[in-house]
Amino acid sequence: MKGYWSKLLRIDLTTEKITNENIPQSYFEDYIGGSCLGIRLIYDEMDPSIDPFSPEALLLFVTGPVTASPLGTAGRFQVVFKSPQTGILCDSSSGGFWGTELKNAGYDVLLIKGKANHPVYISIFDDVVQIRSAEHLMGLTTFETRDHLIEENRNLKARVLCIGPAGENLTLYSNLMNDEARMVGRGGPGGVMGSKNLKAIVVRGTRKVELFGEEEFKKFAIHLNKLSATAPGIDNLRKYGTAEVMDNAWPTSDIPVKNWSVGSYEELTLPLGGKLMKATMLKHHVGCYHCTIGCSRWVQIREGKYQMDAPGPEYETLGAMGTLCMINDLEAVSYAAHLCNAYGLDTISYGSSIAFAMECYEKRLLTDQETEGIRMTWGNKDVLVDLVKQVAYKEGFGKFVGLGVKRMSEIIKKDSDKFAVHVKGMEVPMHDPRAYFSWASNYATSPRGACHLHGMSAIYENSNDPIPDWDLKGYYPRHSNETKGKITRLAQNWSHIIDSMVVCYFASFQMTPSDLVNLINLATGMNLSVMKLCEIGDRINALHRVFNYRCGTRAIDDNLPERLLTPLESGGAANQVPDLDYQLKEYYEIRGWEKDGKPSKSSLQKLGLDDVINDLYSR
Amino acid sequence: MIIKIRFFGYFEEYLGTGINELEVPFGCTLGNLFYLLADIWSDKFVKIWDYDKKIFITPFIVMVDGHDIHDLDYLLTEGSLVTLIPPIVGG
Ligand code: SF4
Repeated sequence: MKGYWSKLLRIDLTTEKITNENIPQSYFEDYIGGSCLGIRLIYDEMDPSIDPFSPEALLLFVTGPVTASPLGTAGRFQVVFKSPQTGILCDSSSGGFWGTELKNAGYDVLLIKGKANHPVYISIFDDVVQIRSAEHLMGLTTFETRDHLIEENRNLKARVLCIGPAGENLTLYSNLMNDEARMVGRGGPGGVMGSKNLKAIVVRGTRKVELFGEEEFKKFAIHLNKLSATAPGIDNLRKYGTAEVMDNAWPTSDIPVKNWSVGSYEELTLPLGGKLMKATMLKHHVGCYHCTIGCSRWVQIREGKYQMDAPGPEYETLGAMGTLCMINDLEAVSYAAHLCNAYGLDTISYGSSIAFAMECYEKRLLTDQETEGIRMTWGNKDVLVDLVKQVAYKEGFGKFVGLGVKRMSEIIKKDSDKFAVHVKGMEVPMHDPRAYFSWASNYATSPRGACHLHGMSAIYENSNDPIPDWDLKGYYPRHSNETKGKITRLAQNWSHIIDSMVVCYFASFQMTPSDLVNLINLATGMNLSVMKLCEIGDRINALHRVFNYRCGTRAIDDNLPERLLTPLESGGAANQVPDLDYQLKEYYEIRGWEKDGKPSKSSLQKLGLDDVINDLYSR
Repeated sequence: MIIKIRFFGYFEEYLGTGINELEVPFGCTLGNLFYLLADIWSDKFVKIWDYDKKIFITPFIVMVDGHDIHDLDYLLTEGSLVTLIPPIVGG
């Protein structure tokens, strides 16, 4: 099939065996690529009960049929692994250029297993794949590691993916960095890589995969690239980055404040916004492979104690490390975020953990003795900066903060679970379900724990006929529960598809399901329809769910913390609370999930997943 | 009567303005206001507001005095603050 190499590169770090394997064509037809293919491959090979840090755990890097094509944003890749943070299957996405190089090296999938007996890195230069010593890289930050490896490999075109000290120390929410601070952020993949004694993967590819309708694909891709380049909403993203949310979303109260206890207000959010960033510290904006949007920022702070010249913070970071902690000093948050990137920590989980600790400290559930003298007061920006290193190295109070909100609350007890804002152990991203009700069922059921990228459901609220191709017609105000279960299902399916192709969410804003089908068919020669595409989304969601069910996820886990179901007193979502039970009832019915949260036999059969029924029903 | 109107996001960029004071007749509804805006920013506003169908072409949240309003017949009053917000983008 065109658009793929049909090749899986398998590296067993225990045995140092490197093999090339073929991927069956039917897998591309049923799962397309990216996350969906990765989830199928993990399902086939990994026992769900395996500890994420054990040598038996798999770590997959997967590209899609449009990766490295002329389509803008198609340099992304997906990482699939069992998360040490949540104990369930996680897929995480990153941009930049690393995915392009992996595809151009001749592989659709890189599968890593085992554990090296000393620190190593992997280098992939087309067919030449080596496992090399990384002793000299241990302890280096992500940026230092990257620079070191580019020099060592004497190839400026090579791309590096690596972990920082947090990953080496198996911190639960440690991440991976590739290229210039593109992060595989969520779920703790850094620790999984660290547990394998794998510090980095360097890759450079010089081949080009053949597409089915090369010319037509190119024409269509250029058309879509132009749409992305000129859409009015996207223009703002280019000018101000994702930080523009701070400028514009506060009236709706979508931005969480003070550990989700207060409605957002402009005095707090505007000092963290994209406009101020542009006016005071923006050096230039940055784009991933072939991207006509270029949403990322490069910032420079020339004076004071937060001097830096590095990639700037995204909205999620500004929310978690800013408004959630009552810190609205853009320089301090940018600097702390840069440290998180350097040490390899997920900024959402880090900021959320700090905010949770601040509330515990305020409520005297944490004493000065327990914080080792650190004053965890709201707005304390020194804490935000100083704790990064401690968390990464599991030292002092940082060791506790590095456990994440769920585990911290389980240790503290005393009703702290009421304001421990996570779902299935994953800290909630910076969009409030009281502002857009669909976030409620979306977060509660998201396959990797609370996530806004496994279904950006809120963009379908307050919109006329949001996805007519998938029969989502009508108008659904944000503060209504009607049809939100259906919206959640379709938003999740949409994300499964774009994560299988693999393209950026922001580019997909300009696309319809017909556009996605067109791209896949032109790239591969498949003959998918828009409804078939939706079915593939259902299939992957079901398979992910089956894996998670086997890890122990039940209906009771499809929930939100009490804090998110407590009305805010002020702001644009005041006195509004989603009816989660109502939404979940609709969602469960549509998905065909049983009362305990497991996909029904008939729903699995309908999706061609007969082979997994026994795994679920024989237990 | 005078009302205030505040644009957010690309609307603000697009129309080149943030907060405006606007004189509107007594009894002006939200729907009337959109027609008025269409007159003021004609070519630009019609890309966002469908004059015939009376709907926003792109998703928008309309708030009056901090509350979401979906009813085009909603009556504006002296000093009303009308806020137009595009959908959230960001991750
Ligand atoms: S929109 Fe932003 S994140 Fe997406 S591909 Fe472009 S630069 Fe990368």
